[in-house]
Amino acid sequence: MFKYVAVQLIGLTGLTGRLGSSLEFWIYDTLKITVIMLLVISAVSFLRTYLPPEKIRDFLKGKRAFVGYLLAGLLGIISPFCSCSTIPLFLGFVGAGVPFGMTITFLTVSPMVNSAAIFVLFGAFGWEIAIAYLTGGLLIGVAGGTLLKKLGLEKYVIDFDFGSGDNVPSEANKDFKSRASEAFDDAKKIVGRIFPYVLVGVGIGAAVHGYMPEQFIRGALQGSLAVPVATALGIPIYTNIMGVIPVAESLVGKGLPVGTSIAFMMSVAALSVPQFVLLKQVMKKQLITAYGGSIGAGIVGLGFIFNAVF
Amino acid sequence: MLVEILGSSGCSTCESLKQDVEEIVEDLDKGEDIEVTKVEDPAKFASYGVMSTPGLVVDGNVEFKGTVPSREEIRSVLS
Repeated sequence: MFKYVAVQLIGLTGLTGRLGSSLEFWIYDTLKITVIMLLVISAVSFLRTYLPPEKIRDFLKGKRAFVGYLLAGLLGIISPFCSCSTIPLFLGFVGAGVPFGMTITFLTVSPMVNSAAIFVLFGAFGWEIAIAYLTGGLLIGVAGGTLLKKLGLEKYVIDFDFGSGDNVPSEANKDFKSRASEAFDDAKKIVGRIFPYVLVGVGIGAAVHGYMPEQFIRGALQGSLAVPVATALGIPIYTNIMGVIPVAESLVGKGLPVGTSIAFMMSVAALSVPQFVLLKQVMKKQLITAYGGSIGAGIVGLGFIFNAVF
Repeated sequence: MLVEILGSSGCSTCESLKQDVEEIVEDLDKGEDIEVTKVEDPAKFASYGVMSTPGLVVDGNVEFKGTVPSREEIRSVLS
């Protein structure tokens, strides 16, 4: 359907050749990603109205070992779509006694694996890659959480008191309809905020799609250093993961190995400077370094594995 | 009366709650007695026991968290 709209629109302009095919890619991908985001974010926001953070936290508190880590990771996937809301959650978890390792797992998976991104990846690359992204991200989160706990880094969380407003319910008892409309409003706001990033990302993807010669990637972006370089490149780039997927999609179309693209994508999402500036409010240097290091190492490892498998 | 809006920078729902509150305060009779501030430090959120933003705190009591209350709800806690 989106393809049809895009082809019709381009037909109207009478453009053909490279410019035509780039523009077609731009319209098609922007439409596709926006609709998927709207659907998935609405659905997840709706589900989340039944899962207030206090409930999640009390649930995690009683869990030990692997199951708890895995659940913490899964929670990271459906967590809010803004790191500005993850950090208060992190403090709430720590303050109320959720095991430290699990909170780190949550904090790692949350920016890296995003429920809408899973579906967009599925649309772009197929289910193998989407599932690999999901399990790979979970694995990095669980491993990172376990490691940081083993290293005893808990003491580097800032000192704070967790207060008594805790007993105010965060979601009043609402009926189905108001939950649904609230979730949809939420999704519209979030998509509106992400949309410019998508537009730019798809634009870059479209330019790559139409104009970048394949030899360029063959020559410059393969070899064993490609994965670490792609990961490092992701750090200074700040955009939404939704804006990176179309770029990755075009690059893969031009011959860039999948693992390298996924590493780049995850690094853009999880290792960004503004995110670490926010974390600095709640963590000391040592913990931030270990946290960033474990994510970076995990992403590089995952990139190599993906390149070997796909 | 001190009204605090809890919300990190970059949180758009927190910004819209702040605007709502400011507009409502302007319309209230005793509006000039109400001071509205935005709190962006997550450790402060935690000290109020708030883990999902936006939060609305009136004179140190948490009234709402994790949701943007309706204008009627805001009015009822401010008067």
